[in-house]
Amino acid sequence: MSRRVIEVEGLVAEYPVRVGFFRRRRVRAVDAVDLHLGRGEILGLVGESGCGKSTLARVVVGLASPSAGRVLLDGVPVPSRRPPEMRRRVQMIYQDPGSSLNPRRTVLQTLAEPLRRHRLVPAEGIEGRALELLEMVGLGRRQLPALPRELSGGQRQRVAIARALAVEPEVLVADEAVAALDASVAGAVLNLLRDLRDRLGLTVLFISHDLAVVRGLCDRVAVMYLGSVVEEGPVSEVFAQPGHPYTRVLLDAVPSRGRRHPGVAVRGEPPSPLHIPSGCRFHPRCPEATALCGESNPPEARRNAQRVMCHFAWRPEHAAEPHGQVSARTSPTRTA
Amino acid sequence: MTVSPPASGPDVVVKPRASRARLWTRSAAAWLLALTILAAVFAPLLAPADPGQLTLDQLQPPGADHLLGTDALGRDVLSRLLFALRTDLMLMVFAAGLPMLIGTLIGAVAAYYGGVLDAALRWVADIFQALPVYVLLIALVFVLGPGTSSLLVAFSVLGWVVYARLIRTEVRRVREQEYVSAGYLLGLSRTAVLFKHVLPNSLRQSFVYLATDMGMALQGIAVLSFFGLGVKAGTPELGAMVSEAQLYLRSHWWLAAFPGVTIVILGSSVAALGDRLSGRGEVGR
Repeated sequence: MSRRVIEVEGLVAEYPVRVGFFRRRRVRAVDAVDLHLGRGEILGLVGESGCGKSTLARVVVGLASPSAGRVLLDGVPVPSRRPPEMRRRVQMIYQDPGSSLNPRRTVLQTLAEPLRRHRLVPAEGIEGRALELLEMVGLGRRQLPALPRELSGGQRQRVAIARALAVEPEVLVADEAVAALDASVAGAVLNLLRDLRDRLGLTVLFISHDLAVVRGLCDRVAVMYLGSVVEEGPVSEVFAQPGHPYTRVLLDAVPSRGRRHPGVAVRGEPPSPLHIPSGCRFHPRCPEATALCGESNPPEARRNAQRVMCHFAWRPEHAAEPHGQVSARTSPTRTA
Repeated sequence: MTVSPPASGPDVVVKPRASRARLWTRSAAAWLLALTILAAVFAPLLAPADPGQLTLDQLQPPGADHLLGTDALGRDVLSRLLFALRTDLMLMVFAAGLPMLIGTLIGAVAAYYGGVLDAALRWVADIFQALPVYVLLIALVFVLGPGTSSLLVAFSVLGWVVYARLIRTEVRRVREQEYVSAGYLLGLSRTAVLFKHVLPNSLRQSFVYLATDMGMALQGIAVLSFFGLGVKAGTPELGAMVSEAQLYLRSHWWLAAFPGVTIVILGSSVAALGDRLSGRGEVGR
């Protein structure tokens, strides 16, 4: 992995909510997250809905400002209100193809606006460049004068990608970009993303709740639970030897043929970020939790490029051990 | 968002068929309104006489010389009616358009940026809702003194709140659409996003209300003029014409009848078109 395009350091994102009639509280949607994206890499970010994936995405692109921590672009910390030139470098692709395009604008108008705004091409070259962008995402001249309502969901998503590419960004943040599409259309859009990475050297932060998709597309994966990253590493390692019980639960929930043992089920619903459990935030639902898990924050365990935040990383059999013996960094050499 | 497929598949959007009577009303309204506007525009050419010209042919019934008769000062009623259309249509457009412009700007900015501005707007809007608008309208014009400009000021001061309220709801909905944040990420300033992406997609309800409001403005102007609070005395205006005809209501019916009927027709045409506006456009949303 080459240089880091984006680094996220100790990021905290909060938003106010009303509890009761007068009282307001701040909810931590993202709590002390560290992440980085190498140039040309596709990082998958997975987790249940409500775990803070989208909030993290909004902070990374600059739609929301962090309460603490910082985002670095090419090693340079970005201000909380980014100037247009800086916003340009990180673009977002949204989930809902129905609302990602202005319904009153034709495709040409949609693509022309960012080109004009940044004077990326001379005025007479705008239509040509728009067509070029459309062809890059697998559409053509026929779609130029179309309004969004005349396009299918997959076509709209392609236009949204073309619009993001118009400003020649370095990073694309795709927030559940294929969740609303049919399987076949979703596959085509995923191929497009991979293709764009290969051809343009784009870096992609791919947010999804679909592990199968992440396995097929991404180089690395980060697993989020209730606002923090619990496991992170290369896809091949994380999927082969998940270190965190939550990751194992997620993987077991993916239906697959030829699985021998029945999956481990998680207990209960994900707790609300208004009431974050003490210690390891997963412990109330963890099939392997001990008393220790509820008391102290889990340490970081590392193995190769894999990072896991768990007292008993890679060790599902730990339950037999008395928890007093378990020290912070026991795991790196052992295998499950 | 309704997606209408190009060919007739099983999901073709079926428009509910408007009843024949309603269709007829709408097209009649459109024709009448178009006719009225043309008549107003070409009033100087169409009018058989100078609307201010006093003659000795006073209180003539409708006939060959004066198609709609003459009034107590011997002025040709048809000519006055045509010129009154000019005054009233003009006033109607501004008495509804100015409040819309002001209210939409205030409401959109407040809703888009939120915070204190938005809270203040909600507070003002709630207060206005408790006020008797028409009583205040009359009082305000009375204080400002009769005349076109005080009419417009009064309508603007009292009318903008409804538009602000309408646009506020819409802007808060559209603000959350993804193309809005995309516009910002692509490099537009927040203000540019408001005017290029948010406002154009928020205005429909306001235009529907504008049509209704124009009808109400027309009647408001006529009523105020009837009470002598509208346009300057002597200016041809429908409400003022009815007012001047009061004394002759029993003996000279045409003096009140023609301008009165015109007010009714014009008001209901505008209202019918507003109705049509609100019915259309649900598709493609």
